[in-house]
Amino acid sequence: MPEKNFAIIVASLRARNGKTLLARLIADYFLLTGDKPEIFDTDAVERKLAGFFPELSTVIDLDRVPDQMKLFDTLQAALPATQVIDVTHRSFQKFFKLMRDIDYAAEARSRGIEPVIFYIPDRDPESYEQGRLLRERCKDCSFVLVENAFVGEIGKDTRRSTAYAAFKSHYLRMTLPQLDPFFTGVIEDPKLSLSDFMRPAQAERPARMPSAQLSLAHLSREAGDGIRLWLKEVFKNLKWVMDELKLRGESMEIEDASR
Amino acid sequence: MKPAVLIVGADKGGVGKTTITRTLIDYLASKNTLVRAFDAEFPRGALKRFHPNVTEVIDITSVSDQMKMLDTLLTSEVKVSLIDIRAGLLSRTLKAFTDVGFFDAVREGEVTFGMFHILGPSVASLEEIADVTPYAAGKNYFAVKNFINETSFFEWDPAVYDSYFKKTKGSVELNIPKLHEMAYEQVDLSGVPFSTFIKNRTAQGHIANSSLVLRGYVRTWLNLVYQEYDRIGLLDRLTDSEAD
Repeated sequence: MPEKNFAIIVASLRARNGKTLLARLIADYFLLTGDKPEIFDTDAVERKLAGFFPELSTVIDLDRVPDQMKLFDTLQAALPATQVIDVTHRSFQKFFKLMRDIDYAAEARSRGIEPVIFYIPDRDPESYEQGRLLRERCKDCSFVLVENAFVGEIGKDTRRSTAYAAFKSHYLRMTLPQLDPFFTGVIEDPKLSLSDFMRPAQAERPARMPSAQLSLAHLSREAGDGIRLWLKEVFKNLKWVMDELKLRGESMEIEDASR
Repeated sequence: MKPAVLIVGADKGGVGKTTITRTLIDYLASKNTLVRAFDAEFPRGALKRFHPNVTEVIDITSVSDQMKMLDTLLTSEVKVSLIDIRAGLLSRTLKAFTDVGFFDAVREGEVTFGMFHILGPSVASLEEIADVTPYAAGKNYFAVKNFINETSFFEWDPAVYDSYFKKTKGSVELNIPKLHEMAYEQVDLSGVPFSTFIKNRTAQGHIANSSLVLRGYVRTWLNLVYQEYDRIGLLDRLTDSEAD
């Protein structure tokens, strides 16, 4: 059975809660596992995600139809690849309306691509409510709830909300652990490839790092270990989610075949 | 079901008559209602390019072509005839239909008649309403505001429009939303019905390679157009006449 491809859609209602970081980590996860994802950065203003993967990324302005075509019509490529799509909070509603209007999920599935939404709620009840609505409206997509430890403690109002309660028994979920604030500046260096950093050969021989990663060569052992531990936990959590998604995909294929 | 004739026309050109006719053919097909279409864009036939199997290009000013349409109404197995009238010929066609006694047959309940009058933004369109009113009274008269060309109807004074529009008993207003121009152009290039474009098929029935995004825009737009036809109860208006 051929390896399943995924269209990973990373979204959040709010800005600055780790969405681009998660999209980057997912892209690096795929690179580490030998996949070469197509990356779409829908923030045509900041282009932050594209800055980390200049050769794999396409910047999309969702207000422009030709750009919408660049993003969604890639499904029709002869050999569709795994995709990572970072949906800027500014285009949150527009992106998902467009996705529903063009029946993206059905088209993706018909081409062997499993659409998956990774949603990061903020601390407020509204972001949980919008996540609940998104899960309801996009029933034909897998939905992963991502709790970002960096967002902080969730308030009482949110915990009491029906939207929060609706996610209590949601199975596909993962935590994005918090990185020591001391190291966050280091990983924001666009020259740093997190997947290269985690490759064993690089870990053992930092002096041989490619020139694009020279910034890491100056890391203290403590900083390097701290980032590596954090990445290990992130990738472990991601692996659990991706394994679950693959299992789901296989069982769906078996069901389809038996019909 | 008794025979029905639906005219799509305007005296002004470029207001989207053929587009509306194409949506009507798709809509009626989606309701399992067979349609034959007459394209009065003689001799070019823009409609025939999209719906070649059901369309015949005619010269509506020619008596033999008028016979081809009207004399076959009672005998044809296809009960709904759509006529896409060439720009500038609406009033003249209605007069010719009067002269041959077509509206007498409508009054006597032998034939159902409906007119989709496509309005442009200019004041001239309002004057057109006055011109066609004598033929439309008491019948299925649909004043179509077609926003496909991003028309704003800015030249109209609402009070003046109402004074024209309300004179026509039983008239119904239809609003056709705008379709994104890139999507419209792509369907135009494909030369297939809107419904075929949505299904990603070529005119020969093979799988096409049309943009998923543009197909999505066409699907959403066509659904909105269908909703307008549902709102006015178009199919009921055609079939209810059976019980008359």
